[in-house]
Amino acid sequence: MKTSIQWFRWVGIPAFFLVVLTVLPLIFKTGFMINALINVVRWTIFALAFDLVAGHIGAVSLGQPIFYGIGAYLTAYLASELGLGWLGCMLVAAVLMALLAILAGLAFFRIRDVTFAIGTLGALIVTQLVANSAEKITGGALCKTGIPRPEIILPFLAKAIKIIQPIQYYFLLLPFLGFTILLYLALTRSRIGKAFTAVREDEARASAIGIYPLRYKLVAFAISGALIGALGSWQAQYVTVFCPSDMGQDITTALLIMVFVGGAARLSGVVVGAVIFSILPPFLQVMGSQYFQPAYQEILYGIILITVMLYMPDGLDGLAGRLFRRFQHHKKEGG
Amino acid sequence: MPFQLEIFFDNLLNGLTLGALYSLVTLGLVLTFSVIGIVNFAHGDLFMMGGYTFFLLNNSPLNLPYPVIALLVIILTAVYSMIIERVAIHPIINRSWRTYAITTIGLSIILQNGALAIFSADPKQTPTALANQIITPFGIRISLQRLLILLVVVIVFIGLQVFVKHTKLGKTMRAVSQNREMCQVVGINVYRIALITFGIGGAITGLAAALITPLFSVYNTMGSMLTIKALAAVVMGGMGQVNGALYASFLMGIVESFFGGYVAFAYKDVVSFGIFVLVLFLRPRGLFGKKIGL
Repeated sequence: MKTSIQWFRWVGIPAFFLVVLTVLPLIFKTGFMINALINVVRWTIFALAFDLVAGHIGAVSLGQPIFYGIGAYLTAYLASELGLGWLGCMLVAAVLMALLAILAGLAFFRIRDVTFAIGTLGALIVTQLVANSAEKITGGALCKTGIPRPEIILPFLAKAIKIIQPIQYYFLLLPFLGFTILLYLALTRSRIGKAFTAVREDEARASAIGIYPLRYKLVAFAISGALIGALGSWQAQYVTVFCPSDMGQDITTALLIMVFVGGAARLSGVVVGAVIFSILPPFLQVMGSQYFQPAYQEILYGIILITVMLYMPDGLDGLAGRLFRRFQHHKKEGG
Repeated sequence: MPFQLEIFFDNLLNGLTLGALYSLVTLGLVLTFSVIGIVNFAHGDLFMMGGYTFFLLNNSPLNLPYPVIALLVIILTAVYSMIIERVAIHPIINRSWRTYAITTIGLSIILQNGALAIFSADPKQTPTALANQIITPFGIRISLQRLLILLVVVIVFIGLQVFVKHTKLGKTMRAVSQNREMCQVVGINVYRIALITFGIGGAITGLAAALITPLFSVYNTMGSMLTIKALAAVVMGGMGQVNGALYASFLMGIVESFFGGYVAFAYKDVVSFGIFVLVLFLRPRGLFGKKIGL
């Protein structure tokens, strides 16, 4: 019984989630729907990658948008100067960001906890300020423009398909989400995941039983960096414009909220958090635009956030788990 | 460019006042950080609230003199800070720093947008008579307001040292910072200490707002950068070391001033945070952090 529930939890729910995401845009073809779905998928990938480091390793890196931004700028260069294809751009961005993550990790993993978080936040601000000032490379505050749109060349078609519509972009992104979920599960449900947990809970004890903490930290950091770099590459090709403000601190804030309010180090928690908090802002906007101005929507968002933190200590996922257990408990007592 | 002594002193003085300014903002943060361990991402927004309070009082028809306004701002900001502690920090005080971070980020969103709704986005300026009075000793131009800031930082710093080392409340706060559970065992009300710490931190932040607002403009998002710089100073100084955080603030101010003056103005913040990151690499426990053996 228990195994079937677990099976459903680890395979069924992600599969169901992906199927829903595939079917929804085919039924509701409004622009609003597609945009909302793109938001959901993008943030889910981002949050899962962030959670690999923040949730599983316990090193809350507030600097993850660095990989996003550099991935995007790299794509702008590779696609427009070297004429590399969309998939090539994403792969190169992923590989280079993994390397950057390893280098950065070697330096940053000397510090821990709050120091690590604020140190990586400092690194993010340095990167963003440099992107803002280095006008020759990044276009500065006026943004990098004219990033080429992806083209897909299929052998049985004479002409390449130019990706223009949001829905086309969406279906480019969806397999990436599938890949991310698979990778996330493969990593965290295996021996490596157990090692991650050991490192997070107690580094000294982990190394005592032969787990070298730095190695696992670097593995998680590199994979997270690669995923986020590839996502940045996709983003650059989707919007065709990338600004220093697109790799800002507000991304970090959103990620923190999604992962820790949803439930860190659990696939269901991260996905729930990402879905809710990527839909909530546009939802508040649409619902609230008749009644109040944007500032009040943000205030409402903040209030929701604090309320969740005060009353649901283990996140939304933990709350769901508690309710589920209570329900099962009642059923057992009743029957 | 030939080396000019005047420009050098200009930059040095500018850096010192900038450092003094940062250290005043940092002081409130490092207090709550070291005593209760709160990573407060809404600290800069508390400063922003103090700034707007100053703006309102300064433009009020009552025509209050500057010292009275400053005193009112200090008291009111302390009250805001204590309200914040009661509402948002008190219920989560025994949780991890991640909870602190997210809760205070939520708080920061509320405060920034509250200010946006009330005061709109355009910056408000409130120059006082003191800020416009410029004296030129030895050919260096400096406004009296900046001199006042330098003076006040020294006084506050000495006052805080005396308070922390020689009063019962100060000693209690140090005890709480070292071991909260043991303090509870011997009958110290940790929640009361947390409230008081937030009150003192708020008062210092209010003082900072009253001193600094006349020199700069007030706008709703001004807190973000200040929060991060203050956090950087706290970490650079060695996690909750009050003195260390102050030296780090001065270091940032002076480096920013010299780099902005001599090399490239656009990159001054880059260098300031660059030094922060560099310090973390060279001394992971901060400039003045004590090494704790494993």
